[in-house]
Amino acid sequence: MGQNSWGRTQLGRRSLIAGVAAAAVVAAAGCSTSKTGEQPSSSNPGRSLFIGAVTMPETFDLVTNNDAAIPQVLLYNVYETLVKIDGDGQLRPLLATAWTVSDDRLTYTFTLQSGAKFASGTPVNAEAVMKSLNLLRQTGNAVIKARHQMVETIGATDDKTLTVTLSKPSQEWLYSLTSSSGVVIDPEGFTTLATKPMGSGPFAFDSWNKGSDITLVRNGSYWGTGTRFDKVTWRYFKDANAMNAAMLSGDLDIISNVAAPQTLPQFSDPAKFTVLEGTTNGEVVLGFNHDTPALKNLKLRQAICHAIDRQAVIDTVWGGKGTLIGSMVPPTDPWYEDLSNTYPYDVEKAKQLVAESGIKNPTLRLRVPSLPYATGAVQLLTSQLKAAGITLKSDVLEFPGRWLDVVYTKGDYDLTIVAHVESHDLGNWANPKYYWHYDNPTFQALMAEADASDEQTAIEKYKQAAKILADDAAADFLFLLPNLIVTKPDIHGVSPNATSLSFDLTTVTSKLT
Amino acid sequence: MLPLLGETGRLRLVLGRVAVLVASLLAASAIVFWLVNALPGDVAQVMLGNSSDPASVAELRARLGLDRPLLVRYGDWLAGLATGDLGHSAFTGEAVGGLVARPLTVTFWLVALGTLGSLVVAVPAGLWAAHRRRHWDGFAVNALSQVGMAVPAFLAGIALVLLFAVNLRWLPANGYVSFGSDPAGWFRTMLLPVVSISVIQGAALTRYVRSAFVEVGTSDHIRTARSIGWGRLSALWRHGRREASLQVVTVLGLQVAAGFAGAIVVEQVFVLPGLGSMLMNAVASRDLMVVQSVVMVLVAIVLVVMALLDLSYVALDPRLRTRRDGRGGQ
Repeated sequence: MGQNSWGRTQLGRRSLIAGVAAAAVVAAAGCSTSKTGEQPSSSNPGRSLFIGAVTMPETFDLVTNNDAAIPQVLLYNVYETLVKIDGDGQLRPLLATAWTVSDDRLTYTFTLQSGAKFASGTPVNAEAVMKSLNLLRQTGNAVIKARHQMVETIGATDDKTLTVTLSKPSQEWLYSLTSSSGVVIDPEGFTTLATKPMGSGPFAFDSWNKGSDITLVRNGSYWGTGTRFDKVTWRYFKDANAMNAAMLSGDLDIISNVAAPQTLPQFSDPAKFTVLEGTTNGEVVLGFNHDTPALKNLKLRQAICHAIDRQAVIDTVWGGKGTLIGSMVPPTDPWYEDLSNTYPYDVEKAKQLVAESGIKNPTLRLRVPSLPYATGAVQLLTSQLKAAGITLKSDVLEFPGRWLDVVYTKGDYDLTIVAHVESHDLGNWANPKYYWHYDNPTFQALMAEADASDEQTAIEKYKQAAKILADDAAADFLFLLPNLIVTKPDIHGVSPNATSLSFDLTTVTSKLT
Repeated sequence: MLPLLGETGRLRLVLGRVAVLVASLLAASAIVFWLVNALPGDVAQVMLGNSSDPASVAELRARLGLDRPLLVRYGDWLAGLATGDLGHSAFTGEAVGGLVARPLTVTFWLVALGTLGSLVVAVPAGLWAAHRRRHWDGFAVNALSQVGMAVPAFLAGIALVLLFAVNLRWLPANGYVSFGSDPAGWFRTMLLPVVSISVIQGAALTRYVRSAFVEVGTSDHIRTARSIGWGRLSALWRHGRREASLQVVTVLGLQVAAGFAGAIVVEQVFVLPGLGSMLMNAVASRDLMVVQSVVMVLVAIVLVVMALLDLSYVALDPRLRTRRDGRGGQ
């Protein structure tokens, strides 16, 4: 037994030594890999691009799914459109080099880019565009179908000419082609929309690691001026601090939109970071349920608008960044007017209007989604409205699941706060079935007229429509979400304004590439 | 004195434990299914977003088969589970079995390496603390482990990120690279999460290892070993480790089970695409098939670990074995 135990002890000692040696190897490997791993990223950061974003798409199928996270990655980068919208809100040719509109505004004739082809090599001809538009208007989601409802026929006159006829004139239709409603999809990709998007853009879809990242690669056979980035990886962070840490440690090249604006001072060193501040299409709306009896009362709605100090809301919930707008129009739309002073902050005026409304001790339910801009405003709004004699009872509903069910579908709320990020969403107010239940025939008629007019007249009419919403206190338009982008200093060409849902990479360069 | 078990006795023990396992799995599946389906809101609404109309939501619900009665859906799901089919994601139509493979790998390595790391920390530290329990350094180890237990893993994670990623820039702050595509990258992204789990779990484990060795140290056979000339530390290690390991393995089993839950927090801090983040996304988007199947996989892992733990006593504790295949069987 003695010998046996000696042997076992020796074994024990040997394994202990082996363990120590293994630990040393691991430690050494840690040092060496960290050194070699650091070099490529610091000496050649331009070849691949790493972008941080917040919301990860659950699918790539933007035909059936209306999630804004999908066009953020795919629109203009992977999927192209006949026309696109630039950073100043202007229409620009993309797959169509030119388009003409008939005098009765019912027939659109598009001339297609010659030589354009999908990443698969298939040419982008009138036939392919027609197939794609038909797919969208026939199988698309409710938004896409609504945008194409006035389309009567789509025809390929010849290889390079596409003719579309409408049943009624529509300004908005041409504009909607710049969004997910107008993407030109490779016919080969119709069956793989959800998992492998196929388009004609300068980037091609490469891989998708569910839960962490999406990688696009350069489309080597791009028909136009291609990108110089070999690879673009989108990384997703639910936690704003984790995204900031990744940027601070040099892992990211771009933060597509800073999720916690109060953390922006971390990026104040211009030698290390470039910070871009622009506008988005995201109107943060304190929505009123117009089916609630008290909110049918104009005086009470006006009282609410007078009672809210919107600049204080921006300072509290969004680190002081954001624009006061006063209606449902962002500054990049041609019909923008600053209406933020329609109901200036005035507690006395608000009290007086509450008294005039004839409603004794008004009490309203504020039911907000679990999103930072909404939950952050609850305390402030409650105390500001309290000062004017209006009581708020608030609760937070998990977003999207609960909020969509309770507020959006069932309409079981009085007040809610949501950022509406779609472009040209002024038209939502013309739909009395939308969750605000706002039913104003004058507004609806004006919107319809604007849509049917020529461009100049349309701009005037949209301006009037936006003013009606503001005057009627249809909602309290709290503020416009800012576009806060952080990049490494060598990254250029990122548009400060987000005029579409796309994070447009087609103009982005790095000075080292 | 425990009764000695023969071959058939051992077989009965194993079969009995397996029967309990199967029954627990069935009960768990029912609970998971009904809890998950009681979540308010539904996937069709989420998929169509805030510009949908009731008609298209109803149409999508029908297409996804969500208009069928709950019991039918439960039966379908259970039948699928029995054949290894975890169902399909509502969003992409992909098989959950395929979707879960990668997150499961991430979380598995996180928990496995974290547990291994905690053993590497805890066994020597605990043994030393037991050996030197009346000296300053024994006290110090004990006090340190107390501090370690009080620190949440995410806080340790954030501290590590600030030091090694933001300040020193030695390692990436977060993210994940698969082993297959870049082994060095995998190592770099996994190092900090594994270390933060190892340190925190190791701290708790150190205390168990210490108390197990302290208890063993007072037993007769250690005294005997000391009396024939063994040093205190080597006597504890040579003659006490099997007995001490019984207690430690129990705690370790519980820690592995808790580790899967705790990994969710660490995954959030380090943005690792593990089961935790997959589950959070699926719950948020009401992709219920993914939620219930992933939860079921987690439950199954915990139940299987528990069962293996029970069975491991047979291997570890010679008193549960016959004389013939006990010591002589090595």
